[in-house]
Amino acid sequence: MGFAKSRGLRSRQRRDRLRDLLRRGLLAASLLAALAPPLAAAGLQLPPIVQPPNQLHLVGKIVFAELVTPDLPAAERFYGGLFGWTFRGIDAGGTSYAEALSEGRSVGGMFQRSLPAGGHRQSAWLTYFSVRDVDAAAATSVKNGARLLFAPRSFPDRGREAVLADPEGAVFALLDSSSGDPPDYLSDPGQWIWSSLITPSPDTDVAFYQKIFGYEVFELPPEGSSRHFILASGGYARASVNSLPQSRPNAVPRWLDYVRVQDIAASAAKVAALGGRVLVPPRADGGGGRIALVADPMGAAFGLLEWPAAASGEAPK
Amino acid sequence: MTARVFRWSAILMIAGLVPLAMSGCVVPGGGYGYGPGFGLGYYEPAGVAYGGWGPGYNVGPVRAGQGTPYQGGQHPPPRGYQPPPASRPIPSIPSHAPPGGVRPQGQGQGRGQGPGQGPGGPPR
Repeated sequence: MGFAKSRGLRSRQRRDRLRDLLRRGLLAASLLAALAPPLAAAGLQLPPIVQPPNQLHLVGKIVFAELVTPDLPAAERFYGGLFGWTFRGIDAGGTSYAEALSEGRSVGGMFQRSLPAGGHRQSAWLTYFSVRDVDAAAATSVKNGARLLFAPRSFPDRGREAVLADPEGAVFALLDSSSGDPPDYLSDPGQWIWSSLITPSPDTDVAFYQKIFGYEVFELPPEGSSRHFILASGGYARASVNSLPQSRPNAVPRWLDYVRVQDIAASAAKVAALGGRVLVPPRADGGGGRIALVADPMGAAFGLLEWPAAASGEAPK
Repeated sequence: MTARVFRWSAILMIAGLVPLAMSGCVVPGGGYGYGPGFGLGYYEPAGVAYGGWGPGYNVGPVRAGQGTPYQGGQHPPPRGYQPPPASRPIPSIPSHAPPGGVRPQGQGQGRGQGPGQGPGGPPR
C-alpha cells in the first residue's frame, strides 16, 4: 500500500516536472517568435536613397530599383563595366548588399541571395514607386486586385516598403523614402530614366495604377492591336504601359526599367561583351529615343534608352 | 500563477505570430519567402519570354509637344480609367539639368568597378 502511494507520488511529480518544462518551452518559443522579426529587421541598415535628405515626395515617381542576384561580384563587374557604376558594401544583417552609385549618386541596390532550391527562378530588378503612406497604398492595392507579397515594413534610413503583384501579376514595390525622393531632373547617362509595364491587360492595369498613384493617363494611338499608355504625375511622364507583344501573348507581365545611355549601339555591344544578352536590339522608338532590351549574365532584364539631351531641351553641361 | 503564465504565453505567442504571418513568408510563384529577416528580394520565374517587339511597338517616353493623345476614335469604348481633358498635351520626362549641374550626391564613391578599373575591387 505504502509502495503504491509512493509510486503515485513519483508519477505525479514527473507529470508536474513535464508540465513545467512544457510551460517554460512554450514561454521561450513565444518570446523568440515575438522578438525575432524586430531583431532581424534591426540588423538591416539599408542606405537612404537620397543624400543629403530632402523633403520631396513625388508620388508615382519611380525612385529606386533593386536587384537580387545569386552572384553579387559578377553583377558588380557587369554593371560597373557597362555603366561605370561604383559600389559600396552595406552591412545588411549578414546579407551581402551593395549600393550602386553613378557619379556618386545612389542609383540602386543589389544584394546576393541564393536561388531558391528546386525553383526555376532567375535574377530580376524590382521597381520602386514613391508613395506617402505605404500602408494605405498597399491596402488600396489589395482592395483593387493586387496581391501583397511583402507586408509594409520600416527599415532604418531607407523608409517604409512593401512589395505587391498587380492584378495581372507584375511585381512592384512601394516606398515611402525617409530621406525624400530624387528631384525631377533629366537623368545623366548611367542613371535610370524610364520604366515600362508590359501586361496582357493594359486597361486593367492603367486603371489600377491610376487608383494607387493618382496618375494622369494618356493613351497614344494604337499600332495594330498593341496599346500604349503614358502615366504622368507632377507634370512629368513617369512610365508607360503596353500590351504584351503580339508574338509573345503568353509572356509574363512585368515592369522593366531603363538606364540612359549615350550610344545605344555601343552599350548593347558592351552588354554582349560582358556576358549579358541582347533581347531586343537597339531600335528607334516612336517617342523620339532609341531603345534596347538586354539581360545581365544572371538573366535580369532591363532596358537601355538613348535620349539625346539636345532633343529634349537640356542645356549642355 | 499557472494561469498567469499561460495567459502571458498566449499573448506572447500571438504577438510573435502576427508579425511572422504579416511578413509575407510564402507566396507561390512570387519568389519571396525568405523569412522574417531579409524579406526583400524577388526572383522571377525562369524562362520569361522577352522580346518579340515588332514594328510600331513603342515603349519609351514621348518628347514634349510631339505626342497626340488618342481619344478612342468616334466611338470610344468605356474605359476603366479617367482620361485627362482632350486638350491636355502628353507630358514628357524632365528635360532640365539641376541648377549649376550639381546633383544630390551619394555617400561616397565606393569601390570602383568602372571601365578601366578592372574587376574585383577591394575585398569586402
